[in-house]
Amino acid sequence: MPTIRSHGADLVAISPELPDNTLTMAEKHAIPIDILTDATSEVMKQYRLWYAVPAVIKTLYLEKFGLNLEKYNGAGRWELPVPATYVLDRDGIVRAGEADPDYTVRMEPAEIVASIRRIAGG
Amino acid sequence: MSLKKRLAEFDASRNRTPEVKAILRRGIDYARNVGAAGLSVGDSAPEFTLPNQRGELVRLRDYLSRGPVVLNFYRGVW
Repeated sequence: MPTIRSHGADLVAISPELPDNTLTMAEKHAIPIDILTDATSEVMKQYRLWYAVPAVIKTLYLEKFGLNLEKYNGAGRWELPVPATYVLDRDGIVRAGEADPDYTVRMEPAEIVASIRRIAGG
Repeated sequence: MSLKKRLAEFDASRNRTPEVKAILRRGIDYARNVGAAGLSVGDSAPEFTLPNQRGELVRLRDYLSRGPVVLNFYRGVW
């Protein structure tokens, strides 16, 4: 993360979750990235990452894991993004990145840094 | 060590039951087939205005005016 920032890049995270009210404002200021709430799901849709959790999986999450997404996302919002990371150049063009429904697969930090270096180098 | 390897080790350390693994797999498979493919390299990232953790409205173009941006979409902290 410090390497990414040292190249002048901002880290921005987006989720359907409502803001965490357990953090104090000082703690919120100390977080080195911006964490954004897409409360209407509009941005997830624009980025073609949005989906509604189907009833069968909703039931499994509730009954087997005690996971109620409405507690995090707000009433009626059984909605999620496909996890994704994109590196944007200053013109807002995607220069690297991908979406992967398997949330245990993430873009390698080394790849992110390499992409930012390429952008910084012209 | 690569992030991929670390995540795989962490995942293995959780000793999930076959039933739990099957449910998680089902969720992933569903998401794989909903046609939410995201952006491709070369696409222009759609502009947005959203609130940050301090309740301030921020715009993609404001970040871009300062430099490159790493944009991460995640499901939640749960």
